[in-house]
Amino acid sequence: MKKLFEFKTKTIVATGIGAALFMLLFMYVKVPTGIPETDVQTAYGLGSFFAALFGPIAGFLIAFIGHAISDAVQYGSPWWSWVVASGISCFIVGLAYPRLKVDEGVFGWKDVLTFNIFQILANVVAWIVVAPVLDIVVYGEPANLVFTQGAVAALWNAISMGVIGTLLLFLYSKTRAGKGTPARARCPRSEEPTDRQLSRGSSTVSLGRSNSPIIVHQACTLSPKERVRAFIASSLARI
Amino acid sequence: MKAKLFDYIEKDNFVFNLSGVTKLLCFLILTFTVMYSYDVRVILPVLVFSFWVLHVSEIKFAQIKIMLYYVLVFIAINFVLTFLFSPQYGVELYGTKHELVTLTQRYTVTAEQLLYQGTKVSKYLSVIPLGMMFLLTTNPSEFAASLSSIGVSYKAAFAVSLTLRYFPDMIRDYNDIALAQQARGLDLSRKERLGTRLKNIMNIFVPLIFSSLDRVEVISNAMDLKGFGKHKKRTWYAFKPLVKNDGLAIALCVAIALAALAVAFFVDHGRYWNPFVA
Repeated sequence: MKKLFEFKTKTIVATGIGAALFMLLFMYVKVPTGIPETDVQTAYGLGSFFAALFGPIAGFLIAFIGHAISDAVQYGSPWWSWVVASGISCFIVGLAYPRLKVDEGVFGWKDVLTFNIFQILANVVAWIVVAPVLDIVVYGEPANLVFTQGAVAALWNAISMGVIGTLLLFLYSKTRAGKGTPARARCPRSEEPTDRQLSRGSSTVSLGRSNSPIIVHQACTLSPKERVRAFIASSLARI
Repeated sequence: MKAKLFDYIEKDNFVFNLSGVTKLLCFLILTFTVMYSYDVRVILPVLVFSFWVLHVSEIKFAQIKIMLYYVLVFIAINFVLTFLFSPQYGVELYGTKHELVTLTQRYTVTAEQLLYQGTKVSKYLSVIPLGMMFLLTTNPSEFAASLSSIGVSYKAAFAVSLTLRYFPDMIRDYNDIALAQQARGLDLSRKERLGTRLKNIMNIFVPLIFSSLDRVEVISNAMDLKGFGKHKKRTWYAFKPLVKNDGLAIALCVAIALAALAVAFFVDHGRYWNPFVA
């Protein structure tokens, strides 16, 4: 059983490295949406991924440290209310950590749902409650301005976490062999030829091979559900 | 994308020779003082003080030029947005209405709004030099030591120092991967659609993040082997002991903070200075 508030050496290192990555993405890798000052911050996708892997404390510190240092470097001083809100958003995502078994290779539809429920809850709490309230209390900002900013931030960060976070968790679970990955552990490369055949739609590839992918599959007795999952994984890996 | 964000250039003057703890404490105390107070008569002296400190610490303009541009753009956007969203917030705050210029019914420029927004700008401006001073005059290796000695758990402080240590490595990795992917025809610019661009970014993310996870494994094993986290406390190689000047600096900052609080409690009876209700 995973402990929620465990802080091992590995968690500390993951926090440090995660915060460095968070900083990098926060400053340089934004997806502009066309509206000024409201870029999709890819950093939150990363933060949610680390939070789901290493727990709430790591999540909180990654977003808090990453956001605070990048603010300090860019603007000279951190904007504390949003730095705290960042930390809280990844803290709440981290609460999903004991429910997920991504490092054992398990990340099914149910886990996708769990992660996204936590993620959406986290963004609503952090950006529609914590950030604006702190802005009003600490900085004396006008209410309707900060609530509008908060709502926009919540939307974009939920998209970032929902798309990037989910994808990263999914891909990561595929690299972990364990109880949850019978398909790959039992017959490696099984999904590779199928994918090639299906995605290119040409028969030459499979004809050229003596062991047809279908035979491999039958030998491995993959259930249809597993086959679909393997197919999605391999096609995602090739995007 | 630069791997080097800011220069730490060692100098021999009053501010540089202060301990990292002192600078961190002073930065936090003054930041929170300015954050709390909405009295322009308190903030302006702090503004002057913080620019004076910046001058004393002999930081060159070239070192802070880019930061200053960012800050000015941020302040300008915040100024405009505040007026667009809440043109009458000052009126609400101070309870009176002195109209100056009428643009439309909603967008009337009032003396109250000008005071509110002017105070806000001076608040931002007075914090910035302090942050820059702290950032540019503190040895990065001393930062973790300072955090731990103001009471932050040394494990969290160590995470901060790992962040500062590995940030340049991450930038280098990112650049390598991004260039390799672009050489294979990946477009990250505005020319691509949003969805495609997100997908392309994932192509850089996945190798970057997964290689970092391997790195986590390696570093944490090394730390475990050296017995990290065995004891409740930890000493720091870069720690600079406190001397007389540190005491002076901290006393000065505490005095400023107390003065600001005294003004708020005894003169203004609240955070806001209200010259409109005499």
